[in-house]
Amino acid sequence: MAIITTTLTMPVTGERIHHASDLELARAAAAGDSAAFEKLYEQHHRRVYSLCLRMLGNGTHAEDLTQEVFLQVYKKIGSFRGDSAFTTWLHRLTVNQVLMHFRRRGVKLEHTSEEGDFTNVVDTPLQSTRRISMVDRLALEKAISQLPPGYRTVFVLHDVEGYEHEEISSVLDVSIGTSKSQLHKARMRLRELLTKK
Amino acid sequence: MVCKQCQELISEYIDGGLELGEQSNVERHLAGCEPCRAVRDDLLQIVHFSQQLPVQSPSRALWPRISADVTELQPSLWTRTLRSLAGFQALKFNFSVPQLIAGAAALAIIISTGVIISRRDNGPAQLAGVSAVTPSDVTPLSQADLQQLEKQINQLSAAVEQRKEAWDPELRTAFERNLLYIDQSLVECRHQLKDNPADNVSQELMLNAYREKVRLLEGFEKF
Amino acid sequence: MVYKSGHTRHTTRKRSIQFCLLLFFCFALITVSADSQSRFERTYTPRRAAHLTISNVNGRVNVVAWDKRTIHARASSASYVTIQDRVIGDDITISTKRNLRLGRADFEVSVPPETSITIKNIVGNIELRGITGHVSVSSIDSDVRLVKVNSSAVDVLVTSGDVFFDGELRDGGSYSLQSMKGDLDVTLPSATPFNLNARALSENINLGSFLSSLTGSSRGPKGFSGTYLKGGCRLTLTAYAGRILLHKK
Repeated sequence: MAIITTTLTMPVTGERIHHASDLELARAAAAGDSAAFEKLYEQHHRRVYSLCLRMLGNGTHAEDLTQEVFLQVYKKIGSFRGDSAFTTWLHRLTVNQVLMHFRRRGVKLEHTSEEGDFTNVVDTPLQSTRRISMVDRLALEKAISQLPPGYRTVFVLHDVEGYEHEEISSVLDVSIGTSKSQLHKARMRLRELLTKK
Repeated sequence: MVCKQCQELISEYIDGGLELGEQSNVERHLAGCEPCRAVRDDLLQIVHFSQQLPVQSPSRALWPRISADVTELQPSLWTRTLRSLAGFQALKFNFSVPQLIAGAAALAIIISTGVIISRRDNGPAQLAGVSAVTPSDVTPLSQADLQQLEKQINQLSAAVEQRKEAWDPELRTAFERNLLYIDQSLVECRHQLKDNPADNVSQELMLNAYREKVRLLEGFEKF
Repeated sequence: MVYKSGHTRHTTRKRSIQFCLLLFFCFALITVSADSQSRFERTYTPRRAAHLTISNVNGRVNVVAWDKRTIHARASSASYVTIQDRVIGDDITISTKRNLRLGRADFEVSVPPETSITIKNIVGNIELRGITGHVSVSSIDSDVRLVKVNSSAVDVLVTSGDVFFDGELRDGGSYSLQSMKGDLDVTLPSATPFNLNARALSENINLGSFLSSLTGSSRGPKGFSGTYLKGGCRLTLTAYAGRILLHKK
């Protein structure tokens, strides 16, 4: 496929950076324009970091993984064609990096332990009418970080990031039924964690 | 419907994923059951607040680390000069320079691996404490063989394209689906080789995937 | 206005009924022949360990070992599907003729255990049970199950589908399983020695309790090579978009 050489070879400088679209910045970065790459980082690094933080539950690991993600962005930016939004492309790359991180560490998402994870959590009986109070954001973030990796991954992708079960099943290579089941279990665990006295 | 059944369906109910019959059953149960309503309300809160969680920021020290990594990857002044002299920027390829260098290195590795393996004894490799994975007894391909394989694939693809229109839709779907799986694997292998041209496992898997593509095309060419 | 006589009315009615019956019969005949099944059934008596090749296009292929000396093959297929066989000595080939329609033919075959089996298919699950002869399976879109297989050579190649192996490995044997999209799930007795070469593009390799006993191993995220116990036979597992799973029996 032919490239638009004029766009690629002209660096995106100064005022143009401020108003350049993600596609323009990506093309410039692919051509070696470091200012364009830095701009992409400025615009997107928080979202990448937040996703890593919530999936991994650990700030240090999340920063390390964010670093790896942007390194992959730099290496693969030439393959971004603008077929999808840059955020979609970046998001998918981030999720893949998180999953590879889990695999490298032998974290088995599909074998989530059902026992012994929450020995301190009050098991809310089916018939209890107790409700969680107004959800405290910090308490919710902490509770998410306490979920087992499999539950946490599906919950973050679905409820926080807005993925559909079809996309989750494709990304995680599980059935749609498994994705739905994991999501429900994650939500119920969060409820238990948030009602703990 | 009992509470256990209702609570198992609550998430799908909240997400609007239940069929009308089940949805009605759940709603009927909820109308008369406060504990299950409590579960529903709690999950609604969790979902609502999760959707509104703010983005977090990493430390300021992160960008300098990324910048340093990226600087190491950038081509040297000599490479950039070479590129401009050779007129690479005028070429209508969709590769960046790091990708071109990685591709050339991958080809060099394939050729040199072929020379080395052809001189080695056969037999199972037992390497203690070595982190790199040794190649299996796969016949390595030279650059000429790789080109021959690609030519064979192009010829077979053209032959299959001509016949495909007359196929049963089920046959066509089976072919296209499986071709997609192979092509996806080839794309993944190429990406991994771009990241690490010395990745001999990805090389082996890529060559294997090419052979698999030939097998698929030969299989369907007969229809 | 002309009134027909009673006799004429009766005749006309009778002819109408006959005509309707004829139409119905023709319609039924067409319907039945469109849905009709063919049956292929053969029995072969090889003198020595035979080599059986089944070359199918669409449909299930099940091969089971039995204690008789004959090979019995039967297939049910759509009427427009042609199944042919050819016997040369102890080499038996049964093949479904290809045409533009993906006509279905399901095979059920019983063989002496030492029979060597070659199966080629495009779409349709394949199961082999109790075979001790050489096994070669090549398909595009199939789940393949090899159960109680105790052969010295097994080669399974599918583009999409899971491959399940639960059997024995013989010293000096060669075993290769590959799927581009699907899992490789292998169960072996814990006392089985082997040399392993596992490759997974997905980086998803789970060797279970074999892992801690693999020696001389070299490993990376996508590949694992090593020797279990004293080694001897070669086990090659290649997966792309799928997992490699090893279990002890």
